[in-house]
Amino acid sequence: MTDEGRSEGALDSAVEVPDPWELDERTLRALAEPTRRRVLDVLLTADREWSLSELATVLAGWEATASGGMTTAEERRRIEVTLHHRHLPHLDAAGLASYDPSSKTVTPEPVDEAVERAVSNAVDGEREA
Amino acid sequence: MLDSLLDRVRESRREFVAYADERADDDLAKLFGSHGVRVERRPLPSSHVDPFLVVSDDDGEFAGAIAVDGLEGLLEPPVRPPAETDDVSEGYRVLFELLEETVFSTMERSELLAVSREIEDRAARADGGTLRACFQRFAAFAAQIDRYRWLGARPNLDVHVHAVGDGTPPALPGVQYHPDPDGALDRYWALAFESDGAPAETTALVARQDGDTYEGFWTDDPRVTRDVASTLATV
Repeated sequence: MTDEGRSEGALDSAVEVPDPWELDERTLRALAEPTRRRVLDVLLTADREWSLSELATVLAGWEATASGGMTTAEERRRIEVTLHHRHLPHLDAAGLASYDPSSKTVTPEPVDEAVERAVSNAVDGEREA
Repeated sequence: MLDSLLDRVRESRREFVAYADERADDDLAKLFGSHGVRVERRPLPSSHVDPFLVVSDDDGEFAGAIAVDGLEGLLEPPVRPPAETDDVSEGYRVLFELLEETVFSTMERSELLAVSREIEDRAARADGGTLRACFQRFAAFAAQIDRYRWLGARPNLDVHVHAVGDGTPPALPGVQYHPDPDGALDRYWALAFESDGAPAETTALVARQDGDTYEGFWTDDPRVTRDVASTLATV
């Protein structure tokens, strides 16, 4: 998918680029995708465990508030599948979150302040965009 | 029995989840309280996201998510479903059906009287049908005798009056009386009108007295109305 290639390869223009010396390559790549930034923002907001299912529902709701429409069950299902197969393993590998694919639970990991700031700025910027 | 009907309607209440802060409580109660929906509120998952509602279907499965901000315009009367109703997404369908659903609520005598008037008027206006009504006390029916004489005289309208308490009602043309010697309807205020023609006129009210107040429902659902009518008929 071209979208995937683009967003995996470079930071989106909406992202406020954090000082590159502060973040390593793997972290930057993990933060390069809007869904992963939203997931991280959710994990950083409440220090608790999330089920894959509830996380997918929350992202579906987020999408609805951004688009001004109704996110459908099919769209939510797609979000859930993408989280499970791509975004959560990616965040796990970058050490930004823990994902257990067998129990389908996500838990926050302590992250650098620089990461926290980068996520918050980027998500905030996307909201106004 | 009317008891089990009431329980069924009460249990059909739905529960949605809203991710929002407490400032949304009033809005959500205003939007859904009168539609028999309870909303469980959970904290916003991020300070960067606006409040949203998760709509679930009959089985409690996710049917859609929508911003709370966008709901108000959607649910305020007159409700206009999106233009292409064939293509409307499940979440919208659930929301619009809610507005039509039978709702369980607490009612006062004055409200019950107003609803009863509405049902009797619909029966009088309709092009034929069957009206059933029960009265808790003879005095309650005695105050309505002129009205029921008028209803009994409507062409093609069958009027059945159940359980008029301990008095002897006067014979009225077009009105049949059905005593309730066991007092099975003592606590009930109920009416049902089934139209011979347009189903739109079909409607029923069932309320059970609990001290000074009543609780029950007013429905336009033909199936529920049928259940109320047949329950009254078999008492």
